[in-house]
Amino acid sequence: MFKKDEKLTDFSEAETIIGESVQVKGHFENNGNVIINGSLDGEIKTKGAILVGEKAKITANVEAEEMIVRGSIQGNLKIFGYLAIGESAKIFGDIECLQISIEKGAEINGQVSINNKNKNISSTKNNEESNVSE
Amino acid sequence: MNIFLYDESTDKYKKKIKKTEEELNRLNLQGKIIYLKNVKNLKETLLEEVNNGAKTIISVGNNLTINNVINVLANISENIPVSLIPIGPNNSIAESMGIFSEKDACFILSSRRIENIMLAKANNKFFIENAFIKNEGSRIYINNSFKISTEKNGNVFFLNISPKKYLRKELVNPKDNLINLYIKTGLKNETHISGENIEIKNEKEDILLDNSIKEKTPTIISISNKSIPFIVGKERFFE
Repeated sequence: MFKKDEKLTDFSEAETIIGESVQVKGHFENNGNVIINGSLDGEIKTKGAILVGEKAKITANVEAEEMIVRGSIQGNLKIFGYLAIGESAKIFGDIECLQISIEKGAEINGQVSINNKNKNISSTKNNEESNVSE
Repeated sequence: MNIFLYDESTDKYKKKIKKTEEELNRLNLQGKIIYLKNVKNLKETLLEEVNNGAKTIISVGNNLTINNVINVLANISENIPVSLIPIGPNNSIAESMGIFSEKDACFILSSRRIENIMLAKANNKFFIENAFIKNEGSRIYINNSFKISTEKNGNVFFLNISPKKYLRKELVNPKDNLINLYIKTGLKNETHISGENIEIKNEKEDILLDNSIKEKTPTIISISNKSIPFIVGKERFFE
């Protein structure tokens, strides 16, 4: 789905995996990489990267170093590095990140702020389907 | 002196015991044999042996045997090395230590490679390898900050040492002060989360420690501050 030259985190050794049938509620804080295929309600923070699978449902504000989103998120995203949004992603909330890629078909409802080194680009999308593709 | 603690369950395996004793003699690893079926108070017995200069405690039997032994040793201040000779079924702890047969166990005892393993605790009981409960009706709270529940029925494990067949072995380290929650609700549906303390509540099911001892819930599981020097297989490293 994403271009091969994009530097995505290797999740094969993720420290935390939340399976499809599992629900997490509360304040979830971690130091490593996290894979979410189930549901999470509350808040999530990690010093590593997060992979949100297609079937995942997150109702939480998210803070991470990097993130790949293929599922649904209701909450604000604060990503200190690279954010990759896949075609099946649905995001309802504001996004702050350093770098971003958005696939055709992804839905973003909220404000997107990309603070890339010397640049400071800010754009607003409201209730529209993204047509940005790599 | 080596102190061999023979579990009652080993009575059924006389041939294996005889061969093991021959192997131990050949390796010059003789010692005192204590038959646990004749022991009324294991703590008093072990304390006496420790005071008499026991060099190694060898648990001969299965998971239940070693679990009973470590629950006594955890409350004794001396750090006597512990070894295992697995006899019969329910010996996953020996496998986790890199000991796969009674013959292996004799050579491993002889080579005496020691790893200090932190014991896990479920309420006031110690365990070495894992605790288990069915997830139906279970409510799990991690680090007092979030709650885990599951939609499908399956099994919940709390791992201190990685079992032989666990695919994510590298995540389970008995020296990192973390207990690892592993939930399996289907072939490809797995959850792995670690935490410093995990509370579990289940009105119907008890939690099973080291596949041997039952403990009622609510249970708080954490890594204790007690460690035991275990004699382990040459290829078994805990990092």
